[in-house]
Amino acid sequence: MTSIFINLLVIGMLFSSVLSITSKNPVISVIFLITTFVSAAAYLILIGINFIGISYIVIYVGAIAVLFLFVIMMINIKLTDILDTGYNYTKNLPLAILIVTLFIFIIFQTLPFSFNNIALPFNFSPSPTVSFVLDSAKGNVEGASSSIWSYVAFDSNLISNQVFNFSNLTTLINRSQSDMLLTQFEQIQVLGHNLYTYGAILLIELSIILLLAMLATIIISKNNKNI
Amino acid sequence: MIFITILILIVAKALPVLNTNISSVHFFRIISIVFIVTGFLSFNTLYLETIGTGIGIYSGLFHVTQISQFIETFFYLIVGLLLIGWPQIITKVNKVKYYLTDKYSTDYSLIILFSSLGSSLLISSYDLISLYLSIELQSFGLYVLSTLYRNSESSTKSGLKYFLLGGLSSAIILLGSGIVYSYTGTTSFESIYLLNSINDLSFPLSSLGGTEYFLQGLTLGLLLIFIGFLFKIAAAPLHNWSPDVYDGTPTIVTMYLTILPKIAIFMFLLEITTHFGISHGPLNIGSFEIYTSFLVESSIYKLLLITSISSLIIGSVLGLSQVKIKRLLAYSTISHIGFILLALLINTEQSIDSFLFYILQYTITNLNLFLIILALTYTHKMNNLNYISDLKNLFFSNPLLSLCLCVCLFSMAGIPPLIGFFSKQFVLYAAIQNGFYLTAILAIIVSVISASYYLKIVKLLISENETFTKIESITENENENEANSSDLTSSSLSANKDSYGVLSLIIELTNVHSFIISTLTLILLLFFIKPSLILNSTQLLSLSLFYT
Amino acid sequence: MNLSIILFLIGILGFILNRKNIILMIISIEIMLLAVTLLILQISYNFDDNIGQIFSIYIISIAGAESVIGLSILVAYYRLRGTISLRS
Repeated sequence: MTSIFINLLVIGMLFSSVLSITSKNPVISVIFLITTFVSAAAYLILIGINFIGISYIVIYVGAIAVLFLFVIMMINIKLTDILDTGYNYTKNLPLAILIVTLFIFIIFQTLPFSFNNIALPFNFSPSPTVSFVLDSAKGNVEGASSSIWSYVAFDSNLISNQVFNFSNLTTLINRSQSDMLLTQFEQIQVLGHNLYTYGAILLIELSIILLLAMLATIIISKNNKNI
Repeated sequence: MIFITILILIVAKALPVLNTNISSVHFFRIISIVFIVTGFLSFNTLYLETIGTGIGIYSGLFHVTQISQFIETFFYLIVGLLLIGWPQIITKVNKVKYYLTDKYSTDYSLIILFSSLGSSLLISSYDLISLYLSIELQSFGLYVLSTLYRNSESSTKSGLKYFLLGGLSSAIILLGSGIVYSYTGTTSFESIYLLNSINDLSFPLSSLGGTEYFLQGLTLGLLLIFIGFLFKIAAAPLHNWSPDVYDGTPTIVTMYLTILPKIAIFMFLLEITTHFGISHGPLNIGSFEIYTSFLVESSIYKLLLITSISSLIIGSVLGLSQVKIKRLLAYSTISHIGFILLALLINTEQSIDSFLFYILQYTITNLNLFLIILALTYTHKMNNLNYISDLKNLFFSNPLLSLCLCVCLFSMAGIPPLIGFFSKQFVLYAAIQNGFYLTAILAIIVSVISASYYLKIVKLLISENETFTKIESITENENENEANSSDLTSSSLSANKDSYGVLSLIIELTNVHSFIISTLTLILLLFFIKPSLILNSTQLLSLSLFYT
Repeated sequence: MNLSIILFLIGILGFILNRKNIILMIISIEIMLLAVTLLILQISYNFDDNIGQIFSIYIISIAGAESVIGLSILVAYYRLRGTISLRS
């Protein structure tokens, strides 16, 4: 049931993103962008990443999409300016086909099509026929014991027994083991712990970036008269 | 070290926001002093001479080695020098001098603070997350910087173009780092190097069964990261945005855009390539297992080779047909990038030596060139020195400054006693020694071609055959430094005697500006007298990279 | 992973095909960032590694900052030109 729902969400996400880049009116494309973000957030919540899913809705839909809409309303584009977008698409169509084939060729030559993530070869050999949109929902088909996803439905803890095959590799390569020690915390607690201890300098840097963004808008859009 | 830097920068940043009444000249001086002090601090805080491999700070997210420390010091010094280049407009009302500057100047220096903070973090970043954050910090600063003159149409247009393509390239970098993360499961570079070297020995991962996928994924991700960075430094197949952007932005912004972000990105690329041991790692051991594990190295190597050759060719051939001076400089930048990438991909001790030396030389020369162009622009009351033909006959109106310009251009073209010749020679020497004969021949031909357009500027500058005057200037002494600078200011003053109106606006070069120009020109000139200082330091740095 | 690669591809296509409408270009940059974030989140979930989740938090906030800067540049551009098409 969950996997069907996830598949629906994914298809909806792809569809609405395609619509958002092809629609002529920017308002409509922003609305489709919101649809994309909401379905991505629902997808994340369904597979068990609750906090970031919710923060997706808060940040993207609450801030960025509103910002886009605000700018679109503010600069008040004339529709005749945009209406030749369709012509523009057909003009660049060969370029698009070229890019799509190149991209798909390169990506799926180096990454085989059935090979979806690195955790799979440790557990079972992948079969190429399962749904290619969603990676590991095949676990529900193959049997509950070998999947991560079925485990998710019962427990939202970050640690799971099924991927312990991988964890010896992780201990081999992971120099800072702070994230391995925190297994008894809740999700948000783990995130917060990691944000404020391990990556504290990153948080400072991020805050500098946000300060720069604030300053940049002020500088760029400042009116000239009252300098 | 970096934390002290951040604190200083934040304090300096908080100053103008709180009181905007502070004079912008003072503001400039404060910030450039801050940069110089920061350079001193970054040189002096960590004593790394005994630790060969450098130390990781902030829980391994950043990594300071001797090279990054040295380059950071150099970087701060250059930024400090660069900020001085802002011209002063001196208004004389009743013989009382008022210092005015451009109204954008405080914003400019403020954003330079942010952006150079980002690039100094990028130099020493050692983790995918910190890499992404610092590249974004740097490039956000650059986008804003190129849109800073929001009343000029070309500036906003080029800023918009720069933003869109820069956003695309940082999305590509992000995709690459996402793929690297998804195949290695870690974001720290050290773990990635470790995994890669484990694969070199074909030791445990192949028994776990994921080796080939791992290597392919790692290769793809690193390739994407490299493509994104090559986009950002405008190497050749991805160079299309750079002449437009450099042409559209005002000169003082272009000066920043061409020099400083490139240093940071190059240092980062150096970090990655040396650790992956491209093309000259411990190969030829004989076991055939090794063949598969060179996937990462060989593909990055091919990518770098292609971009280096094509940017050599494109940078010099397309530069021939340019009439605008900043477009021409953009193309010459592209061909210099070709040289630097060539030195990077050879990746032996000697080539890394020449790589560092080329970067130092390129920075000094380009800084000097742009400072001279700025000086010319402001002394001649042109709004913008757009076309090459504007430089015509300049030698007679302002001989010293145009002499400096000639020296710079000769150094970029690689005329023997100047510094540019030595750097090109080192790169070519390393290339030939490692068997890159075809590339070396190509680079020689291309540098001859590009010398022709530098010489075209010089010919325009003098426009009557007085080509021999600057040969004598080679033997100038260190004593002439002060004399030179004072001459410069006096000449610029005399060039500006024709003032207009009651409120006579005289744009004057500051003393510091002309002093810097003369000093840099003398460095370019007199390098061959005492070359051992810079050469020894770069050689020691490259050795420290290889033998630790 | 396929999901996010396809989404990224859609973003690139939207970027390349829309040479005229700048808002759509910024939107497609957002879609690309979303795709990479989804990739990193899925993988971090598979690995039980929360560095990936932290990475995605950073990416989300940087995407916000990027769209802010882009839209402000766009507004400045519009104020001068009167259109938002890149070439006219």
